[in-house]
Amino acid sequence: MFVCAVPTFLIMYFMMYPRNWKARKRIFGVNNRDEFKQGANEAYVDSIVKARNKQATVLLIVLIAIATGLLFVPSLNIKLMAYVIFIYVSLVVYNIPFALGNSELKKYKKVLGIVSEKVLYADLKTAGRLHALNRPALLLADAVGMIILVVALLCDFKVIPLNFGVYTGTFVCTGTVAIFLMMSLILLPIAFMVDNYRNEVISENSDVNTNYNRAKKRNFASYIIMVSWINNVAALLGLGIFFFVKVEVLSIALIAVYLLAIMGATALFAKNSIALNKKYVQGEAKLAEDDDDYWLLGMFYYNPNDRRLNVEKRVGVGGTINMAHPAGKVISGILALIIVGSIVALIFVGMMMATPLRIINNNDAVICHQMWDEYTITKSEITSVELGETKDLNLFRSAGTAIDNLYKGVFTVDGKNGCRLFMNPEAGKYIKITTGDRTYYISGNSAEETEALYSDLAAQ
Amino acid sequence: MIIKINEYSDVPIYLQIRNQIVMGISSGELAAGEQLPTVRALSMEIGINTMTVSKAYQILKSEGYILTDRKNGARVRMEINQSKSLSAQNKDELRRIVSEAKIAGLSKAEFDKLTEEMWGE
Repeated sequence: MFVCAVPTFLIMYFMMYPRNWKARKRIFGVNNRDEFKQGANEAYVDSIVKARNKQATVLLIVLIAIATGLLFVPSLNIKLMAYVIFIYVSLVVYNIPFALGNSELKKYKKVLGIVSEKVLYADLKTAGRLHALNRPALLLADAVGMIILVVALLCDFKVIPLNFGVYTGTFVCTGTVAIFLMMSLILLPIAFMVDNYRNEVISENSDVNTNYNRAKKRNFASYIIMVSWINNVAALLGLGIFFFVKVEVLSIALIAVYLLAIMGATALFAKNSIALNKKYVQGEAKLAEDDDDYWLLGMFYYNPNDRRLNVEKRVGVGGTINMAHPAGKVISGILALIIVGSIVALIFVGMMMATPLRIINNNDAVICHQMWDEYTITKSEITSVELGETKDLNLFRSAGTAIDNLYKGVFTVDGKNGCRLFMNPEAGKYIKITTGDRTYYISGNSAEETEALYSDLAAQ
Repeated sequence: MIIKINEYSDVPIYLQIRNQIVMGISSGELAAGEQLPTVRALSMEIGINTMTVSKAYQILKSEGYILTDRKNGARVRMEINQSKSLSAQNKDELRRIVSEAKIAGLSKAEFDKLTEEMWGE
């Protein structure tokens, strides 16, 4: 999270808060205009930009300090939860100076008497014809990713005799490779979508428009292809780490390196975008559609007259949706649900962490309860009961919860799939209960509680 | 060639497209045989309904300015039929413009100069 958050803040800072605003095409999402650069107007716009940039700089320092401070939170789960909350809050807070700057510049436009003429431009020479995506290169990257996935699958099915230790046959390797491949596959439609974006008309000269739009699309296409190859290398390394013993440590190292590589590629893309815009805005740009009013706070596009669903973002990197489009409304709703859902999930995980495990030992059954009844193990079906130490277990979660003080759900234990876990690993001890068709690993909240339960069960 | 669509204009968008393509052909910005964007591409580019662009193309086709076929899309005609006369509708339009010029106090010489300039564009 830290490796991802800090470079994102830096990229956002350089893209959203311009030092030399006169060279930028847009300032805080508002089209930069000749009127802004004249006489007293220049001083006023300059004061707005400086004030908002100063706020953004202070925020950047504070956010990086908090992100660094969170690294020292002792519990991994609390750290993760804190980071998720931090990311949400920081994304909102970090955009506040931008939104304020946007609103001030829009107001100033009105003061200057600038009214949108609602003129739309289209260049007949570039319309629908300008593409820069190297489709074979992108498809090749994804095909290589697919081959790595097939190799991982064949290993898990033991067709290829590669030894992944306890992970052989657990589909953990396949899952790891599939995650990276999925990242590439998500990028595939985005690459085609951006390649088909409308071409901006910045000049009366069609050649300038062609060069500008082609360069912009090529920059994005190269970025997507680069990220796809990074995903392939990460998938290959992800497969490779299972040959080693310290899989957990290597996994964390791999994720850190992967995120750094992605951030590096993104920074390169952002740098090229800024350079590209600077070159053309300072040079040939003469035409600009005044659609500032359709951009709420300079971030959200709402234009009922525009039939397009996806549009380019105003900061120059990435795209967004037209929230007035019927599909845009649905997507916005889904996104809002995802954000609310993830916050609810976070609260739920917090509640699970705080709720102690409870094992009810009845005459007929052992009931594992936490917030609600998880498992009811009928005593007549129990064939064996063993006591063991948690540190000796080799666990991998298939479905359920695996946090510092709670393992709950379906796990692979010492190579055996489908085991049901209900234990606090911090207790140090566990009870293995085998029934006719299932194996359970359970524990209380402490070693003493677990041992007492074992004594009762063994006596019965 | 750059097309400018004014959303506040009283002139319907399909007519604005039609008029500007005609002006482009006249000025030479659109060469004979030049490929025009597809209906879908142009509508996506301006952010308007495909039907609007389709209507503009249909008018241009019926007036003999462009050719459309399913394989190649739309193209400017290689040879546009020169009737050597203005349509009745255009004559009416010209009459209206001349009348307004007279009312505005333009002399014939000034009007001729203006048309001369436009003829050369």
